Amino acid sequence: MEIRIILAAFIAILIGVILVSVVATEQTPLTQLSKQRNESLTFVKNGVFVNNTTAYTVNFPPANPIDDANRGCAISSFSLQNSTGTNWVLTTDYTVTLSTGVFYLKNTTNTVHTSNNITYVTYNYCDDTYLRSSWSRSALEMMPGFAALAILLISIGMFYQIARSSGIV
Amino acid sequence: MIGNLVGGFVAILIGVSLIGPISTEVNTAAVTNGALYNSSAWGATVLKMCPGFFSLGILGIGISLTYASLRQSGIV
Repeated sequence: MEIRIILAAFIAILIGVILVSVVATEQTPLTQLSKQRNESLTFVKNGVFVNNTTAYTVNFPPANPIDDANRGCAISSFSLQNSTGTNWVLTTDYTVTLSTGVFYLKNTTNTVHTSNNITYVTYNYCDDTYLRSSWSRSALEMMPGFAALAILLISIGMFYQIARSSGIV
Repeated sequence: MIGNLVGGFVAILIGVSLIGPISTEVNTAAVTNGALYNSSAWGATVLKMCPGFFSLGILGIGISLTYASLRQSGIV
């Protein structure tokens, strides 16, 4: 009797854990912003494009204006680094508009390179699958938690069944 | 009594050998900064409790085995 309960619980827990992992993995792009790293940008060394007038746009700008509740979603955690990974300073070395993904470089000692002209852009952006509705994301994020709770209940149920069949409770 | 002991032994042996795979899978699924942890940290915590309760169930077999043996021998 106990062996049957143990084996049934084992199979159920194993299948449950595998499925909850798959659910959590599939749910991640729906609820979390995608991260774009090391988007390289090249500009002329002599400062022609570092004059605060040339507009650069990230590769994954917001699809529509930010006030569009269905599609708009501003980029976030925007930063610029030089080729050695040193961060540039917002407003000192560059300016950015997160709702459009457009940024301008200023003419500073950091931005005017002497050795190379590679710059890395890092930011979080909304993928097409990202849920724009915050309550939808909250509801979806609770799903794996309740699935885990169900798996825990299998373990508790097994413990209770064994305890009851053996007269402990 | 011998039947109970052998049956309990087999059940405990199987149960203990199954705790390992469950623990491995649970730890893999609920690893820190994994998909489950990032989407639902409390879910990962709940899932980590599964092997504990599974072990508790196996412990129950041992307790019941001991109690049954003591009762059959007239000690309790």
